[in-house]
Amino acid sequence: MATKENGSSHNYVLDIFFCSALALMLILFFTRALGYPIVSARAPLLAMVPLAILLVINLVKIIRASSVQRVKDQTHKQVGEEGTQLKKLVSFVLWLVFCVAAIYVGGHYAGVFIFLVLFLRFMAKERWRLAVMLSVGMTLAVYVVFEMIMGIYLYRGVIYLIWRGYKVF
Amino acid sequence: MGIGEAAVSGLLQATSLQVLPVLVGAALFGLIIGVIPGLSGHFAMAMLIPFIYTMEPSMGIAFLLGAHATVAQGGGLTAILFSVPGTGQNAATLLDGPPMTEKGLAGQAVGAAMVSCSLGAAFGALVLALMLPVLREVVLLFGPAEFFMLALMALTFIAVLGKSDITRGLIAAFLGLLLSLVGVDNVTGQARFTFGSLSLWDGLSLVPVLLGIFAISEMVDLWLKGGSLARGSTSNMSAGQMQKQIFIGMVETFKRWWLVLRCSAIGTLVGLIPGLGSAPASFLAYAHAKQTSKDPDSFGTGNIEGVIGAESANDAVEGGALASTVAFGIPGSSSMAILLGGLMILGINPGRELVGEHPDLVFLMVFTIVIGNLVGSVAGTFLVNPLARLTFLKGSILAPCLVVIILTGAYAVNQNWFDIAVVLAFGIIGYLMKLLNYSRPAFIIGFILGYMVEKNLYLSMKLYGPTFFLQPIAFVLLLLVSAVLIYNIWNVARSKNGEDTINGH
Repeated sequence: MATKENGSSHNYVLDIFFCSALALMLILFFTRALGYPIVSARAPLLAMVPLAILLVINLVKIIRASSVQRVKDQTHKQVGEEGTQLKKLVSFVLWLVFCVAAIYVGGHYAGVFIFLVLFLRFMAKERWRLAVMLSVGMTLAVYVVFEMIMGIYLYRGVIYLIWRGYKVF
Repeated sequence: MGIGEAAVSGLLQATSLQVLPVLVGAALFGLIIGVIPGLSGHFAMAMLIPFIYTMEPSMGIAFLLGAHATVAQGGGLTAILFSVPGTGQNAATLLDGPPMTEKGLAGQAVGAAMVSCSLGAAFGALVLALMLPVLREVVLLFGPAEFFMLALMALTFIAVLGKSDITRGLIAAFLGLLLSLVGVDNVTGQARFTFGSLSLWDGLSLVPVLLGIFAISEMVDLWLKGGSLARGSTSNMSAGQMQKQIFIGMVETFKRWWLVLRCSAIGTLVGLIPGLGSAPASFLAYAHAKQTSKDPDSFGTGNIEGVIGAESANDAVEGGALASTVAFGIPGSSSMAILLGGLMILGINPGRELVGEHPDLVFLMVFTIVIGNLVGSVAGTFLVNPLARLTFLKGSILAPCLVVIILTGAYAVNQNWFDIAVVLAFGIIGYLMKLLNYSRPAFIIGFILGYMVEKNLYLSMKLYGPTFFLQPIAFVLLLLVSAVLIYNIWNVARSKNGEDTINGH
């Protein structure tokens, strides 16, 4: 992904997408705020009015600085050969979601262990031995820091709760 | 509580058996984070925030500030040995640190950096302590209208003086402000922007938002970079040779005490201005050191004064930045914003309450900075080689391990699954903001100040009506904000190439 801080490598496609998403969110918030009592709507409007103006200015600046050809080129790069960074980003986010799902189902300890082993082996391409050792170490660290030192009871997972006879989660 | 009594109480708290081990541990953690390129002070503090829930206020303050105090020291070490700034604030150290390493004087540079950091931090902390009696009086002059304008001023300064361009900085600041208003309005009981979700009734929690914006986004970046965090080899010197050189570097720094003092003063002054931060302070101090040197031509080729100037200003910034944070609840940087959030979590309200009723906690901060930096200097001095090896850790290993701690930390605060979703969502938003040059510090300061803005706006309207900003101090602040905005907008308007303004000044 284009990350260098000069105009030619600025990621206009992503920038336009980000700004548009913000603008959509703002429209949604604005329509909601109009239905609130004036005392509740005052502070949000104080933030939203300048935000809307700034977003328009920003979009105009982006459009002026970019060209259709440049946006086209960048779009091709993002989905083509040079899109490996984007793919890497998407896969990392998906792995994060997997981590959360693993914790939800297996509980913190099992979820953390499974996530780390699989991530280190298949994403980081580490050897099985290192992946397992690191995962065991991190799982132990989570237990020691959160449960033993801080006294926080971490989530045990759906499977454990079903096994213990819970029906409502 | 009198100032003298508060100072003694602060010192006793900082050196108590409960607080000191936490402070030392946090300082070592900060040093390690600082050494690792890409991870910075706000990352260290964001990582620690979930742990302070179970702590006493004094312990929590020492925990957060102790870690923050040593990050720049760790970053200086990496800058000198590997030509990679461990944190952004060490960029000026790159000018003379690596050339000293090339000359075989790595130890001297490290010794000078460690002592300069400690002396700079002590100077900044001393200034904060000396300012406290004045701050206690000044803060009494401020009411809701003034605090409202102060919050607006902080947001404007952060957005305008930060690294991103003004428009993007302000967008981030107002976005943070807007998102802080999600949840039930305390005055009318109106649920705002909850879209039917009960989880949003209490608003977005600070900890998951912080962790997402500063921690997860950094992990995404770390993962995308992959490979070793720093390349190259550590100095070929033996541990004994290194220690000897470090000692020489320390002595050389003490010999240049006047330079340390002047550069520390520059750092502290810059720290007082919200939004500028450590990096400009260290470059300013570096330029000052060069201008006043007897041998300015040797700067950039390995002059120890270049290292001393940059590093002493680096840490002196914190004393200045803390002043506005503790006295007015106005954070001058993202790290101070996180500290402010931490103080709120610990049940401490900055402003009148903190400087008026709990000055001992301000002195605790002063001593935490001093002790933390001393710990960092000692550890940095004796553990240079092992610490340097940390930079060879692979991002692909570090990222998933830290992600696990971040997600667990986010869950542990409220034991709520929704917080994990918030971390992930804000992690992606934070990464996009970083990539597209939207100011994350401005966003987080807007988010933290949202409550203060709304409360003081409500009170000001009740007390003075819609013309509340015409109160004398509030009006002066309004003029100041307008002047800064108009000046910067005029500067941008002069720029002919629109592309320049997209990627910064």
